[in-house]
Amino acid sequence: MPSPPGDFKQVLIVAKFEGGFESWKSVLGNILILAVASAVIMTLLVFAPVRPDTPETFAASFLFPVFFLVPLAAAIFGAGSVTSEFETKTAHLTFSNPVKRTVLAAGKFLASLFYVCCAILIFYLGCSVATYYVFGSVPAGLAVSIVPSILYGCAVLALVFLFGFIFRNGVVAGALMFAVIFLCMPLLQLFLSDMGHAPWYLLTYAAGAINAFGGPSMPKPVTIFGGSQGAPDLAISTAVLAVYFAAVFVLSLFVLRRRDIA
Amino acid sequence: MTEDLTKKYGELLALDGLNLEIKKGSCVGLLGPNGAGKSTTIKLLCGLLRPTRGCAYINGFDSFRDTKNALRDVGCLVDVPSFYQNHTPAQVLEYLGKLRGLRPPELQKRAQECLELVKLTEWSDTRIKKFSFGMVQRLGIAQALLHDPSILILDEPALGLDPKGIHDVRDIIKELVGKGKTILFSSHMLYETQEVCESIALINRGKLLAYDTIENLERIFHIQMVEMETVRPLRPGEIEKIRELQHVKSVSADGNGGNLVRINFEGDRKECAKLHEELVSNLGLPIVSFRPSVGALEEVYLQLVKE
Repeated sequence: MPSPPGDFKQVLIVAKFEGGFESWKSVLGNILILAVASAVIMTLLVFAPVRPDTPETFAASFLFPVFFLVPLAAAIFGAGSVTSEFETKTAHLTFSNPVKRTVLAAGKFLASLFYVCCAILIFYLGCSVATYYVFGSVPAGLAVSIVPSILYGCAVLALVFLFGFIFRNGVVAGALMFAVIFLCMPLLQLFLSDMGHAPWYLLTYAAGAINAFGGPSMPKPVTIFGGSQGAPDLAISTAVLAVYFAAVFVLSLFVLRRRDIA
Repeated sequence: MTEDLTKKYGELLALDGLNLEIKKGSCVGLLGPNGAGKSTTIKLLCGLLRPTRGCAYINGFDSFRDTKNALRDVGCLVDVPSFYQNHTPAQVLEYLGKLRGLRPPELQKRAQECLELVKLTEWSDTRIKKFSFGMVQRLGIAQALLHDPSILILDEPALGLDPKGIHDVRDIIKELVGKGKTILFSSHMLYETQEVCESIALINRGKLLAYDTIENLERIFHIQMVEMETVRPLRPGEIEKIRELQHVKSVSADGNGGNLVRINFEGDRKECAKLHEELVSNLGLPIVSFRPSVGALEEVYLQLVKE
């Protein structure tokens, strides 16, 4: 009788299967979709009629779509990965194996995160190329901002997992995540900012660190509602994003551990 | 083993304090009508449901709180299995095999053996979305056997299979019983259950009504039934004579033309042999076959469920 591998090994096995990493065609297909989507956005930005006049402001404005691209990638790759098990009842098959539920969730998270990170890195690569093409140099702040970008991806993905495990429906999980990221938090942020308070502890405020190297006037999702972002501190915001990711992911594991697979 | 295992879905009590101990190497059939709690029991044992009260243990490990240890030597088939539709049986078995600790080339060898056992070898590289219901069920059995577990928990393994498939599954289970595996399987099919199981756990409305060997249950309920086939249909006078024999409780004739006779009598195997002798020697009936009938288990089942 074989002994099941250790938890970490099982996480990697699940991630490999979930991400379709056995087949390079499947991985390449997913990356190609992300690359095409990013290329369209980047082309529009490079050839925009009004263009910022310094490499920092140009690169920082260029990163604005990341605020939307990351949740979109998280919804596409995360929501399906979590909820399809419940919707198609494959959970009966996978969860009745000698594997901890937390291990299954971690493996799925890792696979989804791979594609979210691919989306981020493709966009950063495009941004670097475009900035170099226009100005002949790439600002150092761009490289540093990859860290909050990826942590933002982790936090948003964790939110998708949490809603996925609670509601077991991909559409609901995605819709709720978008509502939290683009409606509830920006409105709360706007309300608190109007009261003269900088809500550094809000996920969307902390995510502002992604393009904060361009200065306080850089566009953020909250500006849709007419508010101003301010200038989030990179170190504090990075820590806040990490805490959001850890807390929400642990909460989602807690929900999954108690969940009935009926 | 289950201890006071209870499961409530909201206000609905699906399983009520189930205490069940299955000995190593035995084959137990979990019987009960629809909604009796069979699938809930199976899901609780496989760690899919959180018990409202009580515990389910496999090899001494709590199947919900310590799933990894509890299920390491268990093969599960829960409900009608669902597979990843865009994958092939070979891919799914490779994934599940790795999770259970099988390594190449042993993994490929076991996957081939299991697919061969359920007659899916030629479909091993076909996407599962093209499979029929019965093929999916057979793949479910294959994945349960993949790591050669010593315990098997099977939820309606013959569901959706054609007669040949049912026969094959019965043979597979018989073979596994012969190898000393411990098997718990739920079923609606009394004949299948009687053919492969030595014990029956009968549940209804979440409660365990009886758990014993089939022989004991029949004895407890004073039910022995034989099925007899005759060359020609019996005449009413002959049926009447059978009825008058000692220990015979009832006689019914059916089958095409009435040459299939069921005799319900009181007694053990000795009485059964005596009955056979009387039917042949004293009554001179042209008997083709004479064997214990599944009707006895059916009678026990109906009596318990009615109660």
